Amino acid sequence: MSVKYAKKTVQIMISIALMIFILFPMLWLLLSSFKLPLDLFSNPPELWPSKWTFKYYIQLLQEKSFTSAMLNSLIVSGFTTAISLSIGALGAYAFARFQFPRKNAFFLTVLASQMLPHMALLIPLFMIMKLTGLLYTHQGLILTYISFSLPYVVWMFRSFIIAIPYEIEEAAKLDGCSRMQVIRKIVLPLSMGGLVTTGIFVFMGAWNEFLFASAMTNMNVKTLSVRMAEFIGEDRIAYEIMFPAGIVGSLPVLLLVLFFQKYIVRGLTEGGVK
Amino acid sequence: MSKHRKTPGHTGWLSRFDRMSDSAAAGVYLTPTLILLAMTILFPMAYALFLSFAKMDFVSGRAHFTFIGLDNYAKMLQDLRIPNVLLQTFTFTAAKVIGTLIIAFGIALTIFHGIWGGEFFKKVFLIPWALSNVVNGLMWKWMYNGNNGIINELMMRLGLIDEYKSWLAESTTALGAVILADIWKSVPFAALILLAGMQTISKELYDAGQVDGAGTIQRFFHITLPSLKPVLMVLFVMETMWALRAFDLIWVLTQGGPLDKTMVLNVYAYEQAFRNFDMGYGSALAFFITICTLIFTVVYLKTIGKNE
Repeated sequence: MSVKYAKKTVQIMISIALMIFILFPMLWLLLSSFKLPLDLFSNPPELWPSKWTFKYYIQLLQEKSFTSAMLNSLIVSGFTTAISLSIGALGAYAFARFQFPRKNAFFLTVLASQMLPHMALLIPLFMIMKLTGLLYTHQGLILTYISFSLPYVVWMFRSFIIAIPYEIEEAAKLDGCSRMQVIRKIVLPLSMGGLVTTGIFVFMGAWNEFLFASAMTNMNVKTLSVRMAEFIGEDRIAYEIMFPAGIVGSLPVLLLVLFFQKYIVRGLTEGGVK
Repeated sequence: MSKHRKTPGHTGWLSRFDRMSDSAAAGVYLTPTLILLAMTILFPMAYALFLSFAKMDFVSGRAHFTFIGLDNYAKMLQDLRIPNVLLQTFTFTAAKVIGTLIIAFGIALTIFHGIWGGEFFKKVFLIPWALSNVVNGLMWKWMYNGNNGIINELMMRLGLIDEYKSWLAESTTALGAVILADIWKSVPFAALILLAGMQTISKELYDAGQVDGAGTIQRFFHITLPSLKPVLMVLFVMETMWALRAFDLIWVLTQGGPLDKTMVLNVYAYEQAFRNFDMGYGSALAFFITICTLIFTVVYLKTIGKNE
C-alpha cells in the first residue's frame, strides 16, 4: 500500500513541477505588465505588484509606433489569410476531386515547397522585392506570407474536402449547380470548421512572423513582432511598456485560439496523428 | 447578357467552364496556386542557387554580381567559426528535440491519467504555442536577467546558486538558457499530439495486459511506447526540422552571442547576409541548411507514407 502511495506522490509532484514550468512564465509576464518600475526592478523580485497599475497599458495605446504597427500586422495578416484561403481552397479542391496527369507529382511539389527553410528564401526574395519595388510595402510582405501559407492551406483543405461525401456534389450538379456553385454552396459550408481552423493557423503564422518582417519592412510597414523586438534593441529597454506591449500584441491571436480551442486541437492533432 | 447571367450553366464564361474536362478544370483551379508558388518559391530558390555561386558588390548603390564558382562553398570549409557553429546547431537541435519530447511525454501522460487537464488547463496550454517567438523571447530575457530575474531568485531560494547570474550573457549557460526557452514553447504542441496518440490506443490492450499480470511500468514499455512509435517518429522529424530553422527566439535572446556561444547555422547565415552583406556566402550557408532539411523531409514523407 505504501509503495502505491509513494508512487502516487511522485506522480503528483512531477505533474505539479510540469504545471509550474508551463504556467509560471506566462503568469510572470502578465504580472510584470501591471507593475510600476519600483516593483519591476525591486531586488529581490516580488511576485505580486505592491500597487497595480494600468498606466503603461494606456500609455502604450497612445503610442503611435505601437498602434500603427498593430494596424500593419492586421492588414498584412488579414489579407494573407483571405487571399491564401480563397486561392488555396480552389487548389485543394482540384487535388481532392479531379483526376489529372501528374497529379501526385504536383501535390508533392506543393507539399515540399512548404518544407524549404525560410532562410534560403529570404535572401533571394529580399533581392527580388528590391528589384520590383515591393520591398518595404504591405504587398511584398503579403505576397511572401501567402506563398508560405498556400501549401499548408492546400494540404489541410484537401483532407477536409475528401471527407465530404462526393454524392452530395453529384446531386447538386444534377440539380443544375455549376462548378463554382458546387464549391460555394456545398463544399465551403460543409467544411466551415476546417476553414476556420486553417484560417486561424494562417493568420497566426503571419501575425507572429519575424524573420521576413524584420528584413522586409521599414518605418511605414513595420509589423508588431518587429516593433516588439525593437524594445530590446533600444538603448534603454523600456521594460514597463514592453510587457503591456507583449500582452496586447498577443491578444488578437490568443483570443482566436482560445475561442476556437476545440477546432484548433483537432486541426493540430489531425496533421500529426493521421 | 445580364438576363442570362442569372442562370449560369447556359451561356457565357461559366458554362464554358462547366463543359470543360476535369483535367482542364483542375488546371483552372490550380493556376493561381502554381503561379504564386513558382513566383515566390521555385524562382527564388533558383535565384538563391545562383547567388550562392556569386559575389555581390555594391557599385554606386547598385548590386553587382560576379560569378565565382564554388568559392562560397570553399569558404565554408575554411571558415574558422563554422566547426563551432555546426557543433552548436547539433547541440541545440538534439537537446531541443529530446527535451521537448521527454517533457511533452510527461505532460501527455499526466493529462491522459487525469492528474490534471481540465478545460481550463487545456485552454491555458495552447498559449505558449500561440505566443510569438518574439514575445517568448522578451519574456525569457526578462526572467533570465542578472539584476532581478525571477529565475535567479527562485534558484537562490532553492539553494541551487549562491549569487545572481546573467544566464544569457555567460558563455557556459547561454546555450542551455536559449534551449530551455525554446523547449517551453514547443512542449504544448508535442504534448497535444502525443495525448491524441495515447487516446487512440485501445483500452482492451491495457486490460489484456493487466490480465496477463503486466505492471504499470511493463505496460508502459510494452503497450504505450510501441503504440506511439509512429506518432513519436513524426514528431521527432517535425521538431528537428523546426529546430534547424530556429531563428527568431535566438535573435531576440542573444543574437548568437556571447562569443558565438549560441550561434547556430540559421542565425549565422542571417548574420553573413544581412549584417556583413555577404549575400553570396549567406546563400551558400542557407543552401547547406536546405540540404540538411531536405534529408529530413524525405524521412518525414516516408514516415507519413508508411503510416497511411
